[in-house]
Amino acid sequence: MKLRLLGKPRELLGKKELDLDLGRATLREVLEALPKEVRELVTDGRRFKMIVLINGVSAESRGGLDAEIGPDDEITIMPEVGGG
Amino acid sequence: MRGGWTGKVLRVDLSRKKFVVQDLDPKVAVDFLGGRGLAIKTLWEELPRGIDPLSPNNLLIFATGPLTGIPLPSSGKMVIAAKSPLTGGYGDGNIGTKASVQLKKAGYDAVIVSGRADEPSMIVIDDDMVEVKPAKDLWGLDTYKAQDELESQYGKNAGILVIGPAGERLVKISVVTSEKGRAGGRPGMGAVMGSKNLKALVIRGSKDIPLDNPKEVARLGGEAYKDIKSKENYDFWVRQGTMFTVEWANENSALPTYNFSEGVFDGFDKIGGNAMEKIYKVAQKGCPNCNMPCGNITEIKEGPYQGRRTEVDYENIAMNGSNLGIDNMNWVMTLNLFSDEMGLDAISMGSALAFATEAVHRGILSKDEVGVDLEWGNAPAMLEMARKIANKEGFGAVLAEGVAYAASKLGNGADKFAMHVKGLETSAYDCHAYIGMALAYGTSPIGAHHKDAWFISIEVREGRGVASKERVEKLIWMQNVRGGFFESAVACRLPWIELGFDLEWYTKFLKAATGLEYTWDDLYKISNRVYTLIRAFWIREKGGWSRSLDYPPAKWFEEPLTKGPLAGAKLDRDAYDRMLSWYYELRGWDEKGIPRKSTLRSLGLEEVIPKLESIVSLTE
Repeated sequence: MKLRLLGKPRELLGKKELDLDLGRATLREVLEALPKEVRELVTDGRRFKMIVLINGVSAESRGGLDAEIGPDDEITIMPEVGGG
Repeated sequence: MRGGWTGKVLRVDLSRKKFVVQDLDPKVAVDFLGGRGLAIKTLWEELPRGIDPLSPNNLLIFATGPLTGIPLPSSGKMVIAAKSPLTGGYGDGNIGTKASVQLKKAGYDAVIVSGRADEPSMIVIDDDMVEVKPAKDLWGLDTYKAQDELESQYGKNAGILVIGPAGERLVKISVVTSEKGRAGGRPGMGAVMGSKNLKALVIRGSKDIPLDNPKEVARLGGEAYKDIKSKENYDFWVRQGTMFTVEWANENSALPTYNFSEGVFDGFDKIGGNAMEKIYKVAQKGCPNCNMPCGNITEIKEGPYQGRRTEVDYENIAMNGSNLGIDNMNWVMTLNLFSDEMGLDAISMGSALAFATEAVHRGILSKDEVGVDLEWGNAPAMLEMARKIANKEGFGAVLAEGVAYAASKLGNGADKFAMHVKGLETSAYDCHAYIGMALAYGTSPIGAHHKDAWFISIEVREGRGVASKERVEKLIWMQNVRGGFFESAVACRLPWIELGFDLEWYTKFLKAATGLEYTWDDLYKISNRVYTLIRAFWIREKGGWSRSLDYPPAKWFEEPLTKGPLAGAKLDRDAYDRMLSWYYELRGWDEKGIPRKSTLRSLGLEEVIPKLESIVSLTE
């Protein structure tokens, strides 16, 4: 599976994309694989603190942290923005 | 009044060179707060129906609110309002400037300017001393030079509001500016100021702003500033401000590209926040009383403005970058600086240039007619066309009236790609895939601006393409907080929307400043009152209402995106129409978008009923 990051998570990770080989996993398990400082920006363990998309679709509408992620899925993580 | 408000309104009649100080009606203050609320209350009651917005009859209002200027986060804003020459309806904009704080310190909640000076003039306010002075030497100067000149005369701490040559020439897409790069009043407030022969306001105040509980204000301020600094995204925000939105909008197919034909742009990363921060940024700038400054000062490294500095933000860069097909940041910054110096609204300028370019591409307009080689990405040509707009030269004079007028002038279907609502050019979010944001533009009380509600984040996070009543409820909530509360209080919304600063702070701020215990329900009702009165003003000035006036541009319904992950996306008319009906219902307006009598009564706007009934029939 592929992770794409924007904004501060990208800065902290030091790269735009990350390939993970976790087989099938929950979104929670995928985020566990990230460095702690990145993970804590994205979620507090109960809900998302940023926008998370699975193949361009809202992760919230796919089960949130319990959403199932397959090897071919793409996860995008981006901060909320307020639109000025 | 125990504090927050000064309780005084300064009225300046430029025709007679007279001023008078009036008491602010305490009931108006409590029921409308200030800023936008005070502006619409004043315009509704005092402006004769149907006046020419560029005539001496128009009122130009500079209004603060009970939170403005006091030592609480991001309170350095004011609202500038008048009947708009661009839209013919209610127009306003906010601006972050020392003038907001100085006005309160001079002892006024608002300045209301009427009449027209018989020569180029400026208003100088020094506490209780108010003068209308000749400004012949300033007339014709760009906003940067005029700012320098006035600072040299009145000091760097003076609050200065100034128009550029565009406002002087009554270009309808002109703004009021301050401090070289701050601008407010997109719906032609610069032209209204120019029509009054008013080049500048200079404001200096030395009084204490009255506060109900100064110690509590100081305590809350200390805690609140600390809270803002502790936010996780604080440092990233201060480094990039709104400029990160270029990358964000491109990722979500919302970056205006080629006159809002597409939502993604190949060169987005060259004009985005990362490039800005790493290559061009040289300094930081903020408004008074702000500890999360968003002003990115950048240096132009090549081109005609090489070595000059300009303040950039998302809207201006997107509208004069991707929307014009320009991926050369130096040129995008050049266009930004040019618009700021001329006192042109950078958003509408970008829209006008894109509209003309598309008209050329569609064969409706020839390059000979415009006298410029308008092509996507041809930045020097765009700058030349912008000059023609500022000078009202050739086809520039047509674009200077806004894209709605230009489309009506061109005919041949040009209205299909004139990107505006109610005559105000659409700000920088493409809505092919965002029906909620389209409704936000459609129902914004000044035309297509994002100030009142910015809905795209919700649509990305919770799912795109959802046309539900629940979404409309959220949209109205957002309008009431952003466009109702923050525009009337008057304070900057960015601590809340960008860093998650809790809204509950604001009822505490109001209590400490004014002594009044507003709840969010109270504030929500004030917002409903403000929105409904603004709607009544529009109906009065337009002589009726039609649902079509609350529709976003036709392009988003008729011409789908062709590029990016959301290729094929376009708006659905039936879905939009359903959402619009829910919007009216939730606002207490009828199926045509006209406030119901029962709504007007419940909001304490009974006096509006007979005036509206003389124009349209009202339903109970």
